[in-house]
Amino acid sequence: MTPPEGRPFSAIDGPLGQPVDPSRHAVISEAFEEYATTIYRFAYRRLGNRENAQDVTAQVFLKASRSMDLSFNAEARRAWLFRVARTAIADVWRAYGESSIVPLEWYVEEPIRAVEADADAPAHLDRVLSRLNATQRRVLELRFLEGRSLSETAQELGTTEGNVKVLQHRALRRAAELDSGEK
Amino acid sequence: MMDWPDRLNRFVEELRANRRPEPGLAHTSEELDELRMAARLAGSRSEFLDPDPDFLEHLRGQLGARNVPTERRLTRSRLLRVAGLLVAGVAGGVGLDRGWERLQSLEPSAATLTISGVVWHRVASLADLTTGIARPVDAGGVPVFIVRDGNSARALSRVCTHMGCLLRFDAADRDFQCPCHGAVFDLNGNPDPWYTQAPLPPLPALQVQIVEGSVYVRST
Repeated sequence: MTPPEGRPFSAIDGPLGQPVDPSRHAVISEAFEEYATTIYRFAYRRLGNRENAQDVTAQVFLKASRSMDLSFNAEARRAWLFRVARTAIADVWRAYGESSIVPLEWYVEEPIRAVEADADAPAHLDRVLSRLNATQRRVLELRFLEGRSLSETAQELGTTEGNVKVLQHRALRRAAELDSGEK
Repeated sequence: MMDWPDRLNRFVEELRANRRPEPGLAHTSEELDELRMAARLAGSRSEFLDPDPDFLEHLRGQLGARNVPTERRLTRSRLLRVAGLLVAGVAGGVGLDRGWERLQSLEPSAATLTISGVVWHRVASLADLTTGIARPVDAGGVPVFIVRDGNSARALSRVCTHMGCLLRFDAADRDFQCPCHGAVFDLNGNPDPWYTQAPLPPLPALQVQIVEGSVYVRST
């Protein structure tokens, strides 16, 4: 599988070993340098772990290298990248649940607005947390913001690990309800 | 079946470790809402908000594979992985590396051992195995990899958890690679997220025992 001498080898376009399109590479590289970090953060804020965020970021740019329309202006290119990211994120959630329980609107939510809303995301989550009761708020702070283990959290709250799991579940349920009520 | 607070907690523990949780944890839309809220809370940890520079460099390299002489930019195996990933679904991807298989000898199972009605297949001598180098073997018709761990050994299924192709061990990268769609698993059987489009289950492990210097695998 060594490429023929003196001929560029494309792993991305069409049949392997075909000559490549330099203008395509230039456009994709530019989009990558401009948006890779933003797309990664967009995914990280929604998925909460590095591995899922890396998957989404890689999918977005590998897809761009295959099929993004090169005639897009800057705004259309940005919209396209975030739309692909949103679809990839919805696919991740589909894997965590069952496809039938992932609402269609997760795929089609207007992407630009969502990115702009990211700047407010911490304040929005703070508002949600502030409306929980004190124990529910504390369990989420300990587990997510301070990164405490189950046993540390149990000790801090003066309860059992089994009870922390139940408290954690009730707090997340309540927070999810408050969040959907705020939108 | 685990109760929901336990399944939810597995998800939360993976987020705390900044790793991808296993799929399929939520069974209802309410449960999925809790997972999403947990992910958003974990995603607000600003210390992890920036991508790993090595990851970006790697991805940049994948996108830049074009126009650059392969020998300088990519190792052979890495190129095959990228190519395999990108031709996913095309039958041609399977034929990319005929000949590679020949480099990895398949050792036929030489004997069996029956203990309390359980049949164990002899697959190798421990002395013939090198720590960190996996060997593909046949354990009573089941294709497995044997990986030596000092004085013991582990057995992992050779079947890719994506679509069932047979994995190959790559000695240079010390991982298992799928010739069909480019999935990659480490020596513990965990999928490498860079090469998969969706979360994949890890490779199942099989029971192993060492008897008088021989490695036996339980295949059923």
